[in-house]
Amino acid sequence: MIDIKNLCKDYDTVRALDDLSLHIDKGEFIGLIGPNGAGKTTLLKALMGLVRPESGAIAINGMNIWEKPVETRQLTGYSPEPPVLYDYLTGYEYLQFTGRMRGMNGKNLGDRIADLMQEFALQDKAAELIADYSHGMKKKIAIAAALLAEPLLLLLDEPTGGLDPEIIFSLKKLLVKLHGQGTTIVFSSHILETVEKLCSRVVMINKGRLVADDSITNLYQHYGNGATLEDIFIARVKN
Amino acid sequence: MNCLLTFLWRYTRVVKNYVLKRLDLVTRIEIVLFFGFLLFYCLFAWNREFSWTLKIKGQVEVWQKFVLFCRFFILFLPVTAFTMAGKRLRTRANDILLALPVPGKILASERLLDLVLPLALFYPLWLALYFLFARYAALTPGSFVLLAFALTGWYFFAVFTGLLLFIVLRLPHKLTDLFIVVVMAAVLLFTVILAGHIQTINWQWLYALVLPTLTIIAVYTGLRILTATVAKCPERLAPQQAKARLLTSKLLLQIFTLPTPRRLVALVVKDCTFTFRNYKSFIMIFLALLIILVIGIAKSSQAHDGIQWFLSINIAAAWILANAAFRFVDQRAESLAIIRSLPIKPVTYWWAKFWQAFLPVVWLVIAGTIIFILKFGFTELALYESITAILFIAFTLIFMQTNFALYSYPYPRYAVLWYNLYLILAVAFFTVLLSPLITIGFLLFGYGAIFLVLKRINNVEIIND
Repeated sequence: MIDIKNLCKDYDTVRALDDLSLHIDKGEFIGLIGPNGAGKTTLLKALMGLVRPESGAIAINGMNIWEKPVETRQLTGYSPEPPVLYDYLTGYEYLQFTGRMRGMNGKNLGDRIADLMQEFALQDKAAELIADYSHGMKKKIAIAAALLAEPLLLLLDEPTGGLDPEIIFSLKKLLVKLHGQGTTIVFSSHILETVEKLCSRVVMINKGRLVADDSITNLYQHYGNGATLEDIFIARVKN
Repeated sequence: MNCLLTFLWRYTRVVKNYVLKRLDLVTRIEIVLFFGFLLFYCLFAWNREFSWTLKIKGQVEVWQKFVLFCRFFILFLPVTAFTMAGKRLRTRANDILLALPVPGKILASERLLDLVLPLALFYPLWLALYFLFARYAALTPGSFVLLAFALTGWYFFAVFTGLLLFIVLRLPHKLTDLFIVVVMAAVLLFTVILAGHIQTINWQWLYALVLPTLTIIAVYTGLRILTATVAKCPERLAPQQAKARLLTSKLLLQIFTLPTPRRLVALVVKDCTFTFRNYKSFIMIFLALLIILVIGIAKSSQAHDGIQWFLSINIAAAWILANAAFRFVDQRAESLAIIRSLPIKPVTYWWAKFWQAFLPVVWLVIAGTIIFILKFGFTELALYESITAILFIAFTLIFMQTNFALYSYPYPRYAVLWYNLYLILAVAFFTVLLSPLITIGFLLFGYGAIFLVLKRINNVEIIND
């Protein structure tokens, strides 16, 4: 599904991604973890084509994201951190706009928006301007927009930040359901417990380099019984 | 001294971080070409135009051209001043500054200096203007200096009105929005009247010096009051609730976007909804332009004058609305991330932006044409000429604007730099009618920008900085 080869990205003198290579198969649920400034957000942005790497290549479903941007974006849903939305549209209008841009329309679009609004408990706020939303509500709309067209690949940058426990619970349920349906999910988070519970594979990066890439089961086996993801994370980052 | 240092530090940082480090070679070459073009424009075109007018038509014609130039300038200053005032009192900018342990008087002085910056850019231009053409209009250096002071005073007066309005905006009052629209419309209308009577104004020392001095003092005092008030009561900085802005007529929106190609409707409607809801800034300007157009054509005694109004207002509309289309809807780098995450071709986005800026011009052209025919009867050639000119110039202006706006996408905090470029650009374009030949240069530059825009939309990096 995703092929990343020797990716390097610099911000002035800081190397955000350093010769990073990664292969993700269709239907995998990846937990992307790392300390602040490790390069998680840059990696997700690079996957969306929002930052241009100095070297290396990214392909989604065999298509280079810079050569076939429209086709690869059609397959991908992305929720950034912090959530970026149009403040002067209502939540409903924003989802309607996103849906239309993704080729949805008519009753299908209306029903899908209604379902997502209900899922994220936003029905009462659908007609209010996004400018009046709290951070958590904005986050919910951004995630709903990413899920709207049921993409094959879902990139979520710290999706649980700012959400209340009830919504985190339903989001987790929804992600598990999507994973079950074959959606590939890349999920960046600082909450290791969530990654531990949801993801089938953990990708750990530090200073732009890959420091661990394995299934949760293998990582536990490698570090011995009783080790938590937190212990593994600290050990890997220190190394 | 502290205030000057703060100010210098801020702008040195902008130049160092943005101009020297961030711009690629193509952009630097473009900027050099842009300024080179402006310099050429000032040095040769205006001088040639005015000396030619003096030689062929005489001093009265030169004086009339100069008055026309001043009229454009007077109309342009309040719009700029309101925008500057708004930018300097943005909640976010003040939040950061007021959170610092900086005394109110330093903060107020720094804000004041910041407002003066565009004028600092204009003063060398004023000086050049005198030597380039004002001397042909039989103006003495003394009277020209007075004129410069008077226009500075006018700018500050508009800034002061803008600041007062923004201060009032922070007060929890139900009628604030209406009040702002009424007062700003009144100031714009007064500007039109002033522009109409410029020939009869005698530039006296008293008027030319007292107006800027008093307004500068008033601006400083206003800023001090604001900083003191906010220091005592920080909730005054709370952004205004947007609920009141939700009232957008779907029918009006449908009529307004009627000429848009079907595949662009969703993008254009999104942008127009955004613009309509931010009506304080844009709809008022559009209505003001419409009023000016109607009054201008209605007051014209000859078809030639009517066409001049028709052209000027439509070009102004194209520039202002292109500015609005790019700088306010997808102004922040993050907003471009929404578009870049969606499966949209750059060319689709590009056309949508064109239509968003072009639709108001279309409606102005329709209104102008009806009024023109009612007043002067149907003169085919003149109208076709005007409409063609509008189409070409509007196209160019919109894409020059787009191109410049795209520079500030990756690093929105440096947008101020581009704002100053827009000011210079505006001065250049408002005088285009003085010398139609120069329009060709503009068109070439603008059409070059179209290709750059297409390339940049997909290449610009989205970085939260």
